[in-house]
Amino acid sequence: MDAIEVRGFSFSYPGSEAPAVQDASLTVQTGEYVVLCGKSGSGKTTLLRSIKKEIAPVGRRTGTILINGKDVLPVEESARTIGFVMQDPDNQIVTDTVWHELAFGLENLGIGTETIRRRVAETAHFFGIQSWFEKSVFELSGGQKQILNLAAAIAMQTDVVILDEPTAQLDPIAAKEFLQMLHRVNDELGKTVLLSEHRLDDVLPACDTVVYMDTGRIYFAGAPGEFVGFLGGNENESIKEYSISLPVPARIAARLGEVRDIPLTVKEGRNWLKDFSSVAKLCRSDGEPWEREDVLLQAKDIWYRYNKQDDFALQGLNLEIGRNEIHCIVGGNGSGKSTFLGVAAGVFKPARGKVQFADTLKTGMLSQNPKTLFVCDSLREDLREHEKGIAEESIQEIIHLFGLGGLLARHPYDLSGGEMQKAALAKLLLLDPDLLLLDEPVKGLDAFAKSELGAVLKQLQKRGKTIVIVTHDLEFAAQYANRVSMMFLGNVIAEDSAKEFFISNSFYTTGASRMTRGIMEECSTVGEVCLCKTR
Amino acid sequence: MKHIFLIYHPAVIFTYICSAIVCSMLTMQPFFVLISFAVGSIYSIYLSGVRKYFSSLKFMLVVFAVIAVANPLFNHKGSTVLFYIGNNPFTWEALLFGICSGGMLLCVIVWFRCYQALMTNDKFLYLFGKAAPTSALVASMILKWIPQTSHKMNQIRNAQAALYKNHDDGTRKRKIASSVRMTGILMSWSMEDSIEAADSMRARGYGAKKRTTFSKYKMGMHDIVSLCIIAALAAVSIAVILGRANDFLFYPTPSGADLAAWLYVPYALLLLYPLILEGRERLRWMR
Repeated sequence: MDAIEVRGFSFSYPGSEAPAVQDASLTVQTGEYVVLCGKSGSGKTTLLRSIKKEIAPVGRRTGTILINGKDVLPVEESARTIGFVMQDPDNQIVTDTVWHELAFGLENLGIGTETIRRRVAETAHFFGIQSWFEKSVFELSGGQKQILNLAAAIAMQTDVVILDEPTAQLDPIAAKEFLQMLHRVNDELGKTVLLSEHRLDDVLPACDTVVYMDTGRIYFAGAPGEFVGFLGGNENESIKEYSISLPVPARIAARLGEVRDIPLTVKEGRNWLKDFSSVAKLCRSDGEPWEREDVLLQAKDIWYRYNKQDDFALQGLNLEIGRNEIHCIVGGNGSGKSTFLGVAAGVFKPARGKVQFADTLKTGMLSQNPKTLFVCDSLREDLREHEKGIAEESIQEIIHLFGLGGLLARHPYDLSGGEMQKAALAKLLLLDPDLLLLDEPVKGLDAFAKSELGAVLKQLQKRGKTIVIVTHDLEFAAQYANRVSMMFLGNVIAEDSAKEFFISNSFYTTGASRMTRGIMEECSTVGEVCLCKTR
Repeated sequence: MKHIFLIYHPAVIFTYICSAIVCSMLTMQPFFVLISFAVGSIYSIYLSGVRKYFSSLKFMLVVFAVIAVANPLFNHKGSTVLFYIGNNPFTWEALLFGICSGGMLLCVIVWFRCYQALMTNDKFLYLFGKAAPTSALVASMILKWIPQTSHKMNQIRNAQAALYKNHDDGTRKRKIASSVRMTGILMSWSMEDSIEAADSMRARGYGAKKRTTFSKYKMGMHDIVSLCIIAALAAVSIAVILGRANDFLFYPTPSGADLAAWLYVPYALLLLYPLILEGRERLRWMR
């Protein structure tokens, strides 16, 4: 029997002409692992939520959605059948302790204490939660919170788990751990998984079926290997450009003209590249080299801690940022990246050491969550609400630069992740800072939003801004940064031009670098891999 | 190290700590106050360390000193005059009364500190949540909401500080304006997030049925035995306190303290009970 069957489903939000989902048909078999992908705004979330009646959006819907062959499930049965994991790790946690959160759903179903004890124990065991079982949820990392959300859904003995971009707010390591856990849920427990995700690198090799949505329609449903061919050979430009979301090895192979055996993982990619380089000569295309003019910001021996009883988050950090460069700071969680930005912005006063600027300049910092900046009910008002008045021409210019013209009437919270990030950056730029400090601006963005943001940053660089970006996204850093530094335990341990940086690292590096290492002249981005001539 | 008494059922812990607090409040007989203060202090140090104990004691001692000295200043009963202030006698009995009433207050504070170390929120909710399951859930949600919201507020404060650092002129008007602004942001952000929490609750069947209340705790044999012992000791202690100890009179001269020594034993045992358990545990490991 099919776990989920969607037949001719359409949905439109009230007051909106264009349907968010249009004539979608989809079957998910019991035990299948299905990945739903597509650009943001393509209707993925609407479709996923419509499957779970309790949280379905309100609007006009036609067509049918059957769960285990049934049209309408009572609340209790629905809770037992479909688990739903949302994007934000914090907001979906209801109670204050891990054990209580695991039990919450079972309590709702009126199950007795002894049974709950057993289920909770089983679940904690499967997900490796024992060591933090008694903790308060506030002590958990983002990755642990998201695993808890998944575990809480599984504890209710659901057959189907639906996940709406569950890794968007996680750093890459936590995201991988989460997806591995999800893979185990599918593999070892046989649960049906329906996942929307934009980190295709990790899920494509693992899933059974890929479903592609664009502008509310389902265009493709099939095996991951065929999906790459479907995108590459598509006549519809909008669909074709989705290829930039594919795993790096697939993109490199497609770029070099492969159509049949598309590699999805680095391992497959290396094997493929070895074969390929025996018939063709490959070389690296080098972009323009970046020359640093002079040093704009110099941090000398910075020590900082948040509280007297804490460890030092920055331990004698030294770093130089050149004028007019895009500088990415990468590194693991808790390595002090964001703390450094706070120090550079003057929000945190270092206990020892000093940040020196070459000349008096204005700094502007964008914190990790753009929601901390918006005050008004529409973007139009929000861009005009700065404490000191801003000239109308500069507002218009910024709106134009960021392409926000169509979004002005929207509430800032209703923007998609990428739009919100751009709006926040626009608001920051109205204060005309010379040095931009951006904390994880690409977190949770899909490949398009990233490349749009990257293009805007390049524009700003041309206008003479200096940009420091803290990020976990190595591919983004390789593509847009001039220089990259890596932090570890409160210190900068390596600093180099972007390409040198990624080529000198052996595994904390980009997919292109890992794939090309030792086979051809090493590349750090997909764009650098070039075909010189056929042998 | 995990304290052995913490593994006992919340009902046992709650009964013990309440008996200690109630008994301490019932009497001002000097020896009972002394026992309660001594044992309470030892246990408080044992649970949360010397430093914490003394840092909280500083404040308590001020209160104690004020009460102890204030009574003889205003109360001139008693037969043993120590000295005169003006025409008013400062008597030994009035001072003793002040010390004992201040000491009683001190004891209650010390025991409340033990309470804080022993009874966590979820234990309290477990004990009293059954009567009102919804309020137990709400309390748990609030306990999650408070740190989450203060974390949000911190983020907003830092973000706004970074944004308007160059405009900060430090005037009061600006401070008020920026607080209003930050509160506004916090409100809309929290409300937005609570929509998702509500979705998450509905997705997991909230409201489908009458809820049950799960707890990690299970009442074992050792809990029942301890509960009986504590209850018996508390009953005897209260009987002794009300029946004999409170015959103690401060004025005109202290009298009625000639209790048989064994009458102090149940009270001391009651207060020492968890420390006896800890001691027994240590002995077991020394062998």
